[in-house]
Amino acid sequence: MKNRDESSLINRAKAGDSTAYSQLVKLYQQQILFLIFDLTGNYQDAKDLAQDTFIRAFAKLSQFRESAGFSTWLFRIAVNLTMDFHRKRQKATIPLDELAPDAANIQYFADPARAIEQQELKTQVLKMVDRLPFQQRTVIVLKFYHGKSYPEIAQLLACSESTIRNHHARALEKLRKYAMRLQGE
Amino acid sequence: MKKCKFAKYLVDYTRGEMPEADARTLEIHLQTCTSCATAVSELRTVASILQSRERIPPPVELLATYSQSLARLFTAPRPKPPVSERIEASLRSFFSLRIRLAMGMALLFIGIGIGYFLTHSPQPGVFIEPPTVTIPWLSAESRSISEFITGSEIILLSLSNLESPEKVNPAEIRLYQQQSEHLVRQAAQIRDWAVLLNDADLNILIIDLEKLLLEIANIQQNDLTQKIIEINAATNKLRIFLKVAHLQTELQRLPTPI
Repeated sequence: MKNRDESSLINRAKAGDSTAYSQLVKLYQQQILFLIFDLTGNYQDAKDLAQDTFIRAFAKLSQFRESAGFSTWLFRIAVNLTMDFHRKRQKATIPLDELAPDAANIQYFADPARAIEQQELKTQVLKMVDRLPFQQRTVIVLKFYHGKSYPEIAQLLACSESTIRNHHARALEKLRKYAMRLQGE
Repeated sequence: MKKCKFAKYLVDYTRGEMPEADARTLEIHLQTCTSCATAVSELRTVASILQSRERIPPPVELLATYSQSLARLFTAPRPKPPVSERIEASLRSFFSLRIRLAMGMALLFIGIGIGYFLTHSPQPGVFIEPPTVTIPWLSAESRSISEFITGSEIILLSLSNLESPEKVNPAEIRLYQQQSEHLVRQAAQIRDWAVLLNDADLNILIIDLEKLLLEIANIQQNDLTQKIIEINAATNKLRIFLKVAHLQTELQRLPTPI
């Protein structure tokens, strides 16, 4: 039922009905904002990029083919815009192997009497997701935070499924090593 | 320490993506290999941390402005009111307090000007600099948008007019790069203003210009010819939009009625 309604909205929007498009925007505006926030870690940037996503999607609506699924197509635009934004910013991605825990935490973990609590570990690991290379981070965000399957992520990022699995495995391994180091210190 | 030969299978095992027979073999190995058993437990911890992560909610104000600006962008244009109502509205705005005040001020300045001219007749042949008139209620935002578009256009047209890109002076290219970098830095603000003008086409145009400017900012001497061909093609596509955008931003400069 939802798909049929969505499909009808898409067809109307393609025919130039901006009310139909505004309904589609309402359906996805939160998901897109959250996706971009998960990738950038900043709501202000996420808001700007999410707006750009809907503008870009509106301009390219005629190119949308229903086979892909509207949300996948929209997610792809959002990820591509975020990737461009990330490139522009040239945010340095520090290899996790070279990354030391925060100074405050060094002090904290150096005290053997105070073991790392699960909550601290969680906070640190989640912070580290933001430091992963963009492709790996995107896979982690889509897989764990947005519940996408490997085939969906592959379609979304225009990569093969095996590439996605590799990114996923590498990211998990990096995070594991980081968590291990935190626990060891 | 030598790495266990089973280590490379641990992620697949944790993800439950191993054939059953292989998984059984690995499980037997895990009973004797502490490092692999620890790694599996750590991978599971990391996966559970990621799965249980809670997102920081967005600030309420940001969420509100986000929804409002999207609604403004994509709401259907309201039907135009009948001609009689539009004429009435224009007359009302024409005789609004702001306009009346401005007209009064203008008359006062003209009077002072005429008085000055009559009392200080210039010597023949002396050029009198015309006074610069600034209208205080012109939209600074639309002026900035217009300047951004014009600035971008100048760079794009200058590049497309280069006769032989391979012989071009690197200093000239550097200048275009600097100008482009300068405009790219302004682009985010310009986009925000374009959103306020409630014009999706203008917004797309600014995004496209921003992309082109970014390309120019990162242009290299050795791929100059190819890049210029690409930029020319993109500029030709944009040209009609550039004209429309100029017109629109000029219209936005008109005083808004109170």
